[in-house]
Amino acid sequence: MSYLGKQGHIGREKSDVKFPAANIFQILGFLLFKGFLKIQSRPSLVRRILAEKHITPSSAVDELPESGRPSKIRVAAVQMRLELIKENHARAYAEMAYRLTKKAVEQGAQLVVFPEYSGIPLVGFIPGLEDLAREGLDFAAKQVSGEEAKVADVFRLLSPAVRRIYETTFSTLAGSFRVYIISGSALLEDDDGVMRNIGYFFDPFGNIIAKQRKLHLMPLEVEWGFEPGRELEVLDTRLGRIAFPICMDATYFETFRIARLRGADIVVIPAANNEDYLFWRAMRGIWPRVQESRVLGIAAHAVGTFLGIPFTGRSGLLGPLELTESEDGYFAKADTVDEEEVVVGDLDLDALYRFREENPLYFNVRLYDKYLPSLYEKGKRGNTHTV
Amino acid sequence: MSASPLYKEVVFLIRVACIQLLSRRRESPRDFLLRLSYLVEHAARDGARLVVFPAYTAFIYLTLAHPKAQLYFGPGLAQGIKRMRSSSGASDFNEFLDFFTDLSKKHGIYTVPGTMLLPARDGITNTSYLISPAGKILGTQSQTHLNRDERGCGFVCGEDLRVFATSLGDLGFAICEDAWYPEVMRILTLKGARIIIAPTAVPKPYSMWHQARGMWQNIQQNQVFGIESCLVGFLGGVEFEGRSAIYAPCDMTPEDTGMLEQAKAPHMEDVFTHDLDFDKLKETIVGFDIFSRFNIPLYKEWFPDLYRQAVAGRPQSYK
Repeated sequence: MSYLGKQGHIGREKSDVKFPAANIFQILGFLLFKGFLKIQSRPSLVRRILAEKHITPSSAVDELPESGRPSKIRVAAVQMRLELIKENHARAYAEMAYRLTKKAVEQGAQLVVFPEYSGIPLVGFIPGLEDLAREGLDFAAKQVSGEEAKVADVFRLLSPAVRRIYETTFSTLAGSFRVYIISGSALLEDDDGVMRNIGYFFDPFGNIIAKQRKLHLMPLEVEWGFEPGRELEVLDTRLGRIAFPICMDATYFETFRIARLRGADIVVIPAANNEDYLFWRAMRGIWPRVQESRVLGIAAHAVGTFLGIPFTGRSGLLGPLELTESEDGYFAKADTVDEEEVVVGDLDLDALYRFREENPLYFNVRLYDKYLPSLYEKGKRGNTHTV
Repeated sequence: MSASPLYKEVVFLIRVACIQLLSRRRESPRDFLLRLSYLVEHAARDGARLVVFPAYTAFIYLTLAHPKAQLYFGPGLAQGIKRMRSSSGASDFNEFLDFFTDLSKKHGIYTVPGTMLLPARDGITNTSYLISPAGKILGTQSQTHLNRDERGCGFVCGEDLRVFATSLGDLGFAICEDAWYPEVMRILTLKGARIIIAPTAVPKPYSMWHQARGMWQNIQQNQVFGIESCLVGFLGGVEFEGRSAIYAPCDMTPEDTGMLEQAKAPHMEDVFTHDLDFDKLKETIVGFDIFSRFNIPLYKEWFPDLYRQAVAGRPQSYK
């Protein structure tokens, strides 16, 4: 079944949509589906579901200073299981996010971090997606959105509905629990019409204080039709100065270096690694980045098998080796790599500042002047993509 | 010397040797050189075409040749090296280099005789040499990043990173602290290096995590080979420990460790060899080239100005 037909192009919510090759039934089906999505993703519906929970606000954020950095903060990394939501989408999603946030807040967390792709369970709005995806996501995309379609087009179709549920859920949870939330990320149509992997940062009043577009994409994401962002956000909050790039961004030292040099003390990585867990491979992301840039880190991983794709990872709170009791760079970490968990612990900013004072970085600026950034374009692999 | 134009021209399987050298407090200079020649011979017999020694190998020789010079790591080191150099130290230093050029020639292999402390205008540099199988010095590389202790000893930074074209492929150096600054290996790899040589000396106690945050992770994020040769034992009042290793991207190593071979213990002498398989490396990169996903507009926006701003008003340090 295709909602749009062979030449079909998935329109943006407010644009005129033309479907030259789609027959009248397909167009009607598409319009009905969009109407269904709109009704099912009403913000009022999400708010009502969460209001039923009678959430008690936390006072944890009140302990943070109004200005200047805190000495210590308590944070939570949510290791979230990705599961396709097949019915009652808004309710199932809001309740899942509520349950996990509550676990974190009950342990005193002032910041709760969800993993990359935390919005992806809502792709279950597509009827029969699980069956279609058995043939691969590309096949599913073509069935849903037409022969020319890429996987991103499916997410584009769902984007308005997913955005409404996603933003309302986390905004309501942050405002009701009165904590900061970094909600992980969702695959959404961006303001410029391009499909991106977008992370959100909510303050304890439920306001979106920043969005972070993923800066370095996996080849698969590029193939699917997503594009990288251009800006790295570094925010002053009552928790300290924070950056929150996404997953693959931690493969590149440049991301953390820029964040650190712009004053970040904490770098948060919502992640979703779609491979079986291998210790040393998993060590290649946030762990070395925290060490080389001397920041505190929070890694929240997606786990579980989603549409046949396995996701693994060990969420944790990280810092320079010298600051961690175990001397392995972890203050706390998940017990498992494939189960839902909430890791809660303290990040000591005073200790970080003392460590930096005793162990400053000594840059060779004249050397970098010579090569950076020109070498990225002129360099052999960077330029030619060959070996 | 410029880097070779095409990676495809290099040999695809080469055997390299890594020496974990024990610095002994009581040893005659002659015995020390004999020990070095034995280690090189051992590696060469095993088929190695490149043999790498750790940082300060030449400094060991100087301390053994001049026991009264009282050369210790600390504030007086630079002056001590300069004083010694102006007396008979220079000839000892040349003897040491000649010894290695002869060894290279004898076995027909490339050698890296660790590093030497060389007088410079404002202090001393920690400098490595690359010697060809013909016994010719192909060039030098000085350490480009220094920690607080090294600065306290009077070390000064090298100001360029060179890549050497050899019949084994393009080589670059990350000396001591350089291995903990990701800028170094990024620049070297972008300049074409496929093997990074890291002569290293880290004070005890050995930490596998400290080692992992240096060479290991830089090899992973640049998808190249690495040879980290560690000094162990006492030298200049400091006790060193380390576990030398030959690295490759995780995807092409047994059990995904990112290590092809490693020294058996962090405090004893060792020599080991391993083959670097460039075909496999190519496959790994073709599978996923990390460099193909650079966000160049982002880097252009911030580099290098951000570094300049960060160190403005400070002696190049960033706390």
